[in-house]
Formats: sequence, C-alpha cells, structure tokens
Amino acid sequence: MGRVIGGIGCSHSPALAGIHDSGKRHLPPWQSIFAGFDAAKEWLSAARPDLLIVCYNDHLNHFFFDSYPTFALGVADSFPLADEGRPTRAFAPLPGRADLGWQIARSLVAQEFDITICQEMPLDHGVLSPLPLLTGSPWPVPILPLAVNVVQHPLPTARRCLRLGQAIRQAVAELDDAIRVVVIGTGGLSHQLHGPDFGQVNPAWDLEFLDRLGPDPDGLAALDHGAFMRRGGAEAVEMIIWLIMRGALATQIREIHRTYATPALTGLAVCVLQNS
Amino acid sequence: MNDAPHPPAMMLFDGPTSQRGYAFNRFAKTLTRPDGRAAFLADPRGTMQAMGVGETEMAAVAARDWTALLACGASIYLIAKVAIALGLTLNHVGAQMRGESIEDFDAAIRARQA
Repeated sequence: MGRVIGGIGCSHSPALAGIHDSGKRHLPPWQSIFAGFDAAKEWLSAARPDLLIVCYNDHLNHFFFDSYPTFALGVADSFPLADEGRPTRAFAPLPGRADLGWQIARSLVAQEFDITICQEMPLDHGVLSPLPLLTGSPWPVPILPLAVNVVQHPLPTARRCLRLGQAIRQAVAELDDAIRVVVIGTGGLSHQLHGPDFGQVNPAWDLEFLDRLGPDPDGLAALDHGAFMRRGGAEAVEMIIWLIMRGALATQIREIHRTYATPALTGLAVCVLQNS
Repeated sequence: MNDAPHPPAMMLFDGPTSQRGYAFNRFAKTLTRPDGRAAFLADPRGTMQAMGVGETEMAAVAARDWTALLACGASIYLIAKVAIALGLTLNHVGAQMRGESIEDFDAAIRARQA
C-alpha cells in the first residue's frame, strides 16, 4: 500500500557539511550547489514523505573490516551520529521507524536480497552531509538507512544496486499502510582521493551520468566497476549507490531539478527525479 | 586538473590489500573514539605498537608519508583520520600524494571553482 513518489540523488562530500556549519554557503563557489539543495528541499517538503530511505556508504566510521556488510539496513527507532574522528556535529540523533524497517527487511529477504540487519547503526557524513540541506532540522521525517559496500572490493555490481532498488520499490508497495516514501541515493560524483591524481574530477563523465540516469539506468548498470573508476576516479565508484535510488523509481521519470558544480575536491550534484 | 586528462592512477582496495593493511587500519579505526585519539596523541608510537602496527607503517606516520601508508594497505579513509588527528586536512594528504605543496594544491582546486 506504500508508494515511492520520487528520488533524490546527491553528493555527500564532507565539504558540504563544513561549508554549511561555518555559514559560508553564500560564498561564490558554493552558492549554486547550495541553491540546488534548496530547490530539492522545497520539492521534498511539498512531497510530504512519511519515510526517507537513504542509501549511502559508511566511511569506516561505523563499520570496520572485521565484519563488513555488502548491504546493511538500519532497523531502529533512532540513529546516533557517528564519531568521524573529530568533534561530532550539533544534531540530534536521527529518527527511524523500526516497524517499517522490519517490514521492508522481510520483503527484501523474501525477494532474495539477504541484507545485514542492524539494530544499532551510527550514521556518518554519507547521510549527514546532505540530510540537513534536504530536510532542515530538527529532523522532520524518519529515515531508513541502507549502507552499501563501495570501499572494500569485491563490491556489489551496479546491476545488483539497480535490482535492489527495484526490490525496494516492491517492498514499499507491500507495506501495511499508505506510506509515502522518497528514496535518496548519496555519493560522488567524480573524485579521486589517493595517489598522484588525487583531486582529479571529470565533469564530462558526471554530466553524462546525470543525463543517462533517468532514461538509461540499464546502460549505467551494465558498466563494471573499472569503468566507473577510470572515468570518475577510484572513490567515485560510489556513484553505483545512485542506481539503488533509480531502481526504486518508475521506468518513466521526470527530472525536476539538477545542479552540478566542482567547488572543491569532488564533483558535486543534486538532482530530483519524480515518477511521471 | 579540471577535466580528467586521463584515467587516474589508482590502487584497488581489495581483499589482499585490506588483509595487508589490517593492523594499521584497525589502529586508525580507534581514532573514531575520543579515548583512542587521546591515547594516540599522548604516545603515537606506543599506541600503534600495542596494536601490532608494523615498523614501516609507524615510520610512515611519523614522517607523514601518506603515500607509503597507501602502499602498506592503508585505507584512504583511515589515513585521513590519522591526518586529522594530527591537525592536518584531507588536502594535506592529497598534496603529499601529488608531490605538491599544500599551497599549490589548494590553488589548483581554487582555480577550477565554478
């Protein structure tokens, strides 16, 4: 009975958090991307979601390589902020909906997505960089976080991410109540964070990705990790997380908003897709 | 540095790499706790030694040689935590890996701001 009404793809660079918290969003290099987040925030507020499913990756702030899940769903009524190795930001814990989380988890496993289920899941900048820009705080909407391994190879394929999104769409449709869901995918866009090409971005690839996300998710899902990494940089492989969001949407979608900029180390984007 | 002129040189952080870097990475993960940061800053070498970090990695931390750490299987996300604990930024790590001064690296990033 639930329904996915749209999706947001956005970057989660810690720079977004730093600029937001230091009140520098109106400085010229940052103005446009923050205006883009404002537009997404306006759409999200008008969409009146009951739940945000936030697909992201943890950066060794919660999970470690002792036991590293490929897909992990946070099923809890509250999610603390992870300690990222510096003073934690001044936000309250994020509200969850464990009841909806269990329903989604049951459906995903029944659809043969054998996710790890976490009743404690501190959240890092993969969620916390963009979320204040999309909803404001105090947090108005509960979230269901889904962490994806894009750090330690072997990673799930881009195709697997797209299919997981399709399974999420089905799981939402099976919810007991008429819950309105927006799915958010975070990460990217292009960035290379190690070696002699540290800091390299590729706007041409980023814009191609954004152009194809709506009409050609299957084409993007057919790319292997090497293709994502050669074009966007090694760490930009996290762009596959956006395909979970895309998979949760209808075949025919409309791009409501898009902003792209490169004010710092990474290609930064925010886009809103709505089922048409 | 704006439009990628070529595919970036990269290392794949795969299973064997993760296994090779496990002791260093496990140490660096303790920097996500206040007590872990305090212990490291009070006695960097002693703290790493107690967690089984190798001589090569300890020397690389002492020299702020992030490139050497990468070759030891360190995760860039955990290298960043060490740098931040030492009062540096991710840009410092990047500049060192590129073989540039932090001033030159920051200027190159600023030059492409759009």
